[in-house]
Amino acid sequence: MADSIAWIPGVLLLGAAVNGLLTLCSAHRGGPKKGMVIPFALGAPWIAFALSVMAFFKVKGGEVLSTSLYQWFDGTLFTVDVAFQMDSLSAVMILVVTGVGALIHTYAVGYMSKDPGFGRFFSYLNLFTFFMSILVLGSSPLLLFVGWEGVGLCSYLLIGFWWKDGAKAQAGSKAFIVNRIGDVGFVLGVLLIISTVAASGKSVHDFASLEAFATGDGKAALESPFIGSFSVVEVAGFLLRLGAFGKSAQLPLYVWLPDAMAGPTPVSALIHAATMVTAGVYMVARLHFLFVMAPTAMAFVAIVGALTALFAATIGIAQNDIKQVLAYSTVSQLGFMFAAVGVGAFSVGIFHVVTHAFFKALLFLGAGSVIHGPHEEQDMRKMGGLIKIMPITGWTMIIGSLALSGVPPFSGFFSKDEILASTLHPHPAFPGGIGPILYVILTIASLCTAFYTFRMVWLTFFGESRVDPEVRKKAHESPAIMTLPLVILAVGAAAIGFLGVPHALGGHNVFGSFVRQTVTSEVEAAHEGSGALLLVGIAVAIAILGVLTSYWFYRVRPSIPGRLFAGLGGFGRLVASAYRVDALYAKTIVNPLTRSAKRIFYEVIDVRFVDGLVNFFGSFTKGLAGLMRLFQTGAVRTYVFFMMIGAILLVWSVFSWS
Amino acid sequence: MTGSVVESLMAVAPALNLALAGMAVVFGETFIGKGLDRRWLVSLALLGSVLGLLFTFLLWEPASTASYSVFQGLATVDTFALFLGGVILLCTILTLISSVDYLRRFGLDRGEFYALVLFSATGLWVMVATTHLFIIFLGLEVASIALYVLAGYFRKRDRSLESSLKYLLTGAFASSILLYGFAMVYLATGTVDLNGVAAAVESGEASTSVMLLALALILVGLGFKVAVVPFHMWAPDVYEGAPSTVTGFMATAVKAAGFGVLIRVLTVGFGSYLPDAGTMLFWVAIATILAANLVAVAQSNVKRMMAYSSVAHAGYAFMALFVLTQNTPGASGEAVRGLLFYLPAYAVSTLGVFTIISFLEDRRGRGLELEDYAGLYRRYPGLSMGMAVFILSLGGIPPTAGFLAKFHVFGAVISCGVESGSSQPLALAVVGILGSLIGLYYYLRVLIFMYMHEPQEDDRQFRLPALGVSFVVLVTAVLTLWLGLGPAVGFGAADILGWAEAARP
Repeated sequence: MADSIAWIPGVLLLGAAVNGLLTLCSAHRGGPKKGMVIPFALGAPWIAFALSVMAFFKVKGGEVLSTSLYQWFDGTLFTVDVAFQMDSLSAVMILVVTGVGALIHTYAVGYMSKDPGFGRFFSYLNLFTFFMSILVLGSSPLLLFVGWEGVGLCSYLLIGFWWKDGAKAQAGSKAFIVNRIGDVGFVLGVLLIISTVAASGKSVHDFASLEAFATGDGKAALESPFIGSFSVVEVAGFLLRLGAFGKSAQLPLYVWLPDAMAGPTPVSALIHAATMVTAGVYMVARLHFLFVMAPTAMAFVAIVGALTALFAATIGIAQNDIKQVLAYSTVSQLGFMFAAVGVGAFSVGIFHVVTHAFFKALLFLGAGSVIHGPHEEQDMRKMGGLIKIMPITGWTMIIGSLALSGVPPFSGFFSKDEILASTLHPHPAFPGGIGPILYVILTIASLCTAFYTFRMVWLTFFGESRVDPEVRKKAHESPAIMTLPLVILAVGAAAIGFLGVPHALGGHNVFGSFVRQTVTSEVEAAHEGSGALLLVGIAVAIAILGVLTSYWFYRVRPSIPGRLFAGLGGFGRLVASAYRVDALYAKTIVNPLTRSAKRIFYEVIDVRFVDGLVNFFGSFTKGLAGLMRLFQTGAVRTYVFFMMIGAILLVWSVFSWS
Repeated sequence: MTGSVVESLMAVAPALNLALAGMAVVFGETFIGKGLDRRWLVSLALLGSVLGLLFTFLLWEPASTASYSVFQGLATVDTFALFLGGVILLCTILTLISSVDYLRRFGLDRGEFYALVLFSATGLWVMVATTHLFIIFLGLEVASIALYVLAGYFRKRDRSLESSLKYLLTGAFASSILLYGFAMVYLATGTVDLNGVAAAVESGEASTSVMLLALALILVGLGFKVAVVPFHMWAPDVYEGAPSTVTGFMATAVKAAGFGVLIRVLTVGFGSYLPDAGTMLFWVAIATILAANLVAVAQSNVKRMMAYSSVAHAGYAFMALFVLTQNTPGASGEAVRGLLFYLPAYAVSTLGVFTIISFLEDRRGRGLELEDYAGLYRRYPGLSMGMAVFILSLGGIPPTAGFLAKFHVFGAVISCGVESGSSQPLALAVVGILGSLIGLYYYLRVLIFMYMHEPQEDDRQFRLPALGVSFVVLVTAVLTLWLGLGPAVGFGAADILGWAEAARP
C-alpha cells in the first residue's frame, strides 16, 4: 500500500485541496499568505515526481504496476474500478507530467509572486497536475476520460485566471467550448467500443483486457461493417480522433490554443505546451491496438497532422507576439506528433512528446521571463538586444530554439528526424504514395520551423534594442527561482535526445524499445531501423538552412522581410492574420448559432414558453399559499378547532373505510 | 431476556446517563451558584450524552442477538430503540454544543437550560425504548414538559412566551386525545402492553370498533407531536418563537421519537387493523406534503420557513407509514428501513440549518429574515457552504443525505404500488415528488439570497463563528455528505442503511 502508485495522484490532490481550502478560508482577508501556500504548492509535484521516479525504476525492470482503489460503479454491462496502472508508456508520460510540471510549478512561484490570486493559482495548477496524472495512470478508457475532462476544466480555469479582463475570460470559454466538440467524439467513440464489447457478452474493465479483446475474440465484431463499408473500429477510431484533435489543437479545432495564451505564462508552458495538449497523442498511443485495425482513420490522422504542422508553421512566421509564435509552433509540433502516430510510429510520436515537453516548456518559460523583464511587453518588435540584459534567459532560450529547429545534437533533432523517417514507412495498409507526400509536407514544415524559431531569437535577443529607454532602465534578469528551472530544462532540452539515438547513427534507441514494452504492434516494429543516413543528412541541412535564412533576413538584410511582405500583398496579410480562420468560423458557425440561439431558443422558447410556464406555476403556487395562510390566524382556538375537525375526520375515515 | 436489577439498569444506561447528567447539572447550578464557570456544566451535560451514545454502541451487539426486556417488561431495549435512541442522543449532543455560544450572547447561559435539554432527551429515549403504552405516555410527558419550558426560555421575549404557551395549550389537548386513545386500547384488550394488545387482537377478543377508535385517536395525538396536517398549526408559531437551538431540537429529536413510537405502535399493536388506517394515512400524507410546501413558499422568515419545511418532511415520512398499511411485506420492510434512514438524514441537515440560524440571530431577535441572508457568503464563506449542503439535502439533491433518504422512502412507496397492484401508492409517490419540486423553490431561494444577492448595508457586526458553531456545522455537513455519498461510493459500506435494516422491529 505504501508504495502504491495511487499516491502520485493522491499527493497532488492533497496539494490542490489544501491550497483550495486555504484560499477559501482566507478569502475575506484577500488570500492566504504565500508562505502557507508554497510548501504544498511545490511539495505536491516534487513528491509526486519522486514517487514517479521510484515507480519508473520498477517499470524499467519490466514490471507493470497496478493498484485498484475501489469499485466506482457496477453497471449491468460493464464495471469500472478506480484503478491505476503504470506500464512503460504511462511511466514516460508521468515522468514528464510530474518532472516538467514540478519545474514549472517552481518557476511559477517566482512568476506569480506579486499576484493577489497566488493561492487560487496554485490550487488550480495542482489540481491540473492531479487530473493529468489520472489521465496517464488511469487503467480504463473511462478513467482516462475523467482525467481528460478534468484537465479541460483546469485549462479553462487557468486560461481565464485573470477573468476580470473580459477577453481573457472569453478565451477560457472558447477553449472549453471548442474542446467540447472534440469531447463529444471521444465519448461517442468510447461508448461505441464499450457497446461492442457488451454486445459480444464479454467483460472488459481495463486497457489490457480491451487489448486482449481487440486482438483476440473481439476482432471480428470490431471489424464488422457499421456505417456503410466502414467497420466499427474505423468509426470508433474516427470519433476518438476527433477528441484528440480538440484536445491537441489540430485542424480544424486548433483555434482555441492561440487564444489560450491569455493565461499566465507558466500555464501556457505546462498545460498548453508540455502536457495537456499532448494528451491526444497519448490517447492514440494508448489505444494503438484499436487504431492499427483502422488504417483509413490512421491515414486521415497522419494527413491532418502533417497539414496542421505546415499550416501552423507558416502562421508562426508572421506573428509578432512572442507567445503567439510559440502557440502556433506548439500547434505545428503537435501536428508532427500526430503524423507520427498516424503512420503507426507510436513510440516515435511519444518520443517527440517528451522532447517537445522539455524544449517547449523551456521556450515558454523563457518567453515568460522575457515578458517579465521589459515589463509585460509581448511584442517582439519592441524588444531586441535583450541578451545583454537577460543572459541566462537568452542562452537557455537559444538552446531551446536549437532543439525546436532540429539542429543536432539537441533533442528535437532526434525526435523530428525519426518522425520524418517513419513517414516513409507508413502502415502497410495505407494507399501508396501517402508516405512520400507526408515526408515532403513535414520537411517544408521543418524548414518553416527553423526559420520562425530563429526569427524570434534574432528579434528578441539580438540587434539594436527597440525597447523604450525608460523601460530598459528597469528591465532586469529574472530571479533565481525562475532562471534555475530554465537552466535545468535547457540541460534536458539539450541532452534528452540521446535517449533515442537511431540505429542509423550507431545508437540503440533506448527510449523506443522501452515504450515498445507496452506499444507492441507490427506497424510499430516496421519502423525499427528505418532512419537511413541520407534522411538524417537532409534533416540537418533543412534545419541549418532555416536558421541561416532567418539570420540573413533579420540580421544581415533586415529590409528583406518588409519588402517580401509587401511583395506578397494579400497573401502575406492573410498569413499574418492566421488565414482568418477565426473570422471564417465566426461567420459560418458561431454567428449563425448565437443568432438562432437568441432569436429562437431564447426569445421564443425560453422567454415566452418556459418562463411563461414557470411564472404561471409560481404565481399559482403563491396564490394558493396566500389562501392557505388565512387559516394560520395565530389564535390557539383556531388551531384547536382544526385539530378537532381533523380528529373527527380521522375517526370517521377509519370507520367508513373499514 | 429478563434479568437482575443491574442488568436492567445497564440496558437503559443511555437514558440513565442523560438523567443523571441532567440532575448533576441542576445541582451544580443550584449549589455552586453564581461564580461558576458554566463551561463545566456544559461539559458535564456533554459527558452524560456522549456516555449515553457510547453505551448505545456497547449495547448494540448484544441487543441485536436478543433484545432486552427489563423492569418486568416495561422497557424493551432492542436495536430499534437503540437506533432511534442514538439519533436522539446525537441531536442532543449537537444541540448542547450549538447552544453554548447562542445562550452566552444573550446572557442566558444557565445550567437549567442544559438540564432541561437532557431531561427532554431522557423522555424521548424512554418513548422509543418500550412497548408499554403507559411508559410511552410517561416519556412523552417528561419530554414535552421540559420542552414547554425550553420554548419559553427567552422569558423577556414575548414571542418566546407566546411560543411556550401555545405549545402547552395545544400540547395538553393532543396529550389528552392520545391518552384517550390509549384508554380505548385498554378498554378493548385489557392490557396496555403492545405485545399483549397484539395477542388480544390475534385471538379476536378485542372489540373492533373500539380498536379502530383507538387507532384514530392515537394517530391524532402522535400526529400532533410530529406535526402533520391538520395537527401542525402550532408548529410555525412555536418553532418561530422558541430559541433557535431549541427549535432545532424539536424539529429533529422529538420527530425521531414521535415516528419511532408511530412505527412501534402501528406495527406491533395494531397488526390486522392497519389496512383500515390506509386511506386516512394516504390523505394525511397528501395534505401534509401539499399544504406545508405551498405555505412554505410564502414565508419570508427563514425560521418559519424551516418550520413548514419540517412539517413537509413529516409528510414524506408519513408516506412510509402508509406503506405499512398496504399488506405488502416486501415494501413494508423497505419502508421502515427507509424511514429509519430518513430520520437521521433529515436530523443532521436540519440541525445544521438551525445552528446557522441561531448564529445569525442577534440580541433583538433580528437576522432571521431572508433579506438578512443576502450576500452571506462574502461574510461567512464556510457557514454558507455548510448551509448550501444542508439546503440541498433538505431539497433532496444528490449527493446528500436528503436525496438518498427520499430515494429510499419514495422507492418503498413505488414498490408497494408494484407489489399490491393498486394505484394509490403510485399517486402518493407522484404527490411526494411534486411536493419536493415545490420544496426546491423555497429551499433554493435561500441559496439565491446567500450567493447571488448583494449584501445589505446595515449595522450588524461581523462576528467570527464560535468554535462550537463551526464544529456543529462541520460535523453535520460531513454527516450529510457521508450519509448521502457513503452508501453510493462504497465508503462505510452503507453502514447506516445496514443499521436501519437491523433496527426494524
